[in-house]
Amino acid sequence: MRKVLNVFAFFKSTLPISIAVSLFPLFLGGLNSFVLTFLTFGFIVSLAIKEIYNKSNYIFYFNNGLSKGQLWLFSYLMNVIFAVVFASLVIVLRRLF
Amino acid sequence: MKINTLEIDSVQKRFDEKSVLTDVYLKCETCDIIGLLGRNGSGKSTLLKIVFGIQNADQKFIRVNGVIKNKTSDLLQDISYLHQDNFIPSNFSVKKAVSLSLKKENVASFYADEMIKLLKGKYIKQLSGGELRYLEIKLILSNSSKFVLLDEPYNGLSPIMAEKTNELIVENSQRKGIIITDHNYETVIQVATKLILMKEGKVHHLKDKTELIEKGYLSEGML
Repeated sequence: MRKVLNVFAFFKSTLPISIAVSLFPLFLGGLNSFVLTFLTFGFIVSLAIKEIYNKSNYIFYFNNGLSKGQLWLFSYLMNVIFAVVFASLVIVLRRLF
Repeated sequence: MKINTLEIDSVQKRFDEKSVLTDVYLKCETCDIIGLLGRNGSGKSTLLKIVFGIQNADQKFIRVNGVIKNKTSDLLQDISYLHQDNFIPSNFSVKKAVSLSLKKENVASFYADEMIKLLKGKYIKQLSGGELRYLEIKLILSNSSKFVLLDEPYNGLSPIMAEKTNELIVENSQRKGIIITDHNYETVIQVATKLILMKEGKVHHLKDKTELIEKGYLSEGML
């Protein structure tokens, strides 16, 4: 359970950049563009920024038994869940109003 | 009590054409506190990074209890590492860092420490350099790993904090093997049960601290 919480903390730390990068496509191309960018370029940019500015933070997760590959893989899966939930919410809200 | 063994064997590392580590062998068991000393650039930090798996080596064999660990993800289950730089994300609260690092049953005893008690309600970014260093050291000594690598643990600590850190190290060495490297040689010598000198990429296992003078690491009168 602690490892899941660690991955969740890592995932949360990638979210602000992923979302910020995906906002521009959202306004230009709508929901599909947002989801596509969020799951590709947004995620890659957030990892790249972490690699440049907060590389030593990885040591925290390493000391809790998680490798970089595990952190990337599982936070990407959380990203997919986030994107699906967000897209579903938007679709439901559009149908309701 | 189970005695665990970490063996670091045949480690070789070259940067460009310069050989930094040559055929290094080191063995650390539960209850060992190994003081790894050496001049700047002697390869101490590089060796610890290689052992933890965050730096590649040209060749290395790491064995834990006789089993070769090739994958970094396997090493991370057995070894913890104190980086020279602070590593806890600054947006975390102390409480969050502790709950993500320790088993639930160990949290209460962790906060029993007077120093840690004072930090409980704070965020990492609010801590002083010494407070943060002490928290990091205590966290990785308190987690469930079998071995701990401490790279410059006394950096930024006041003499009293350094002494408290040594008490923590001694206390936790009852269930872990610990390797320390630091330029504060007096504090390292004070706590170490074994001394190793790194010189020209090789490790020298010392029988007595006076060999630090014989091998040119310290000058006469420095001990």
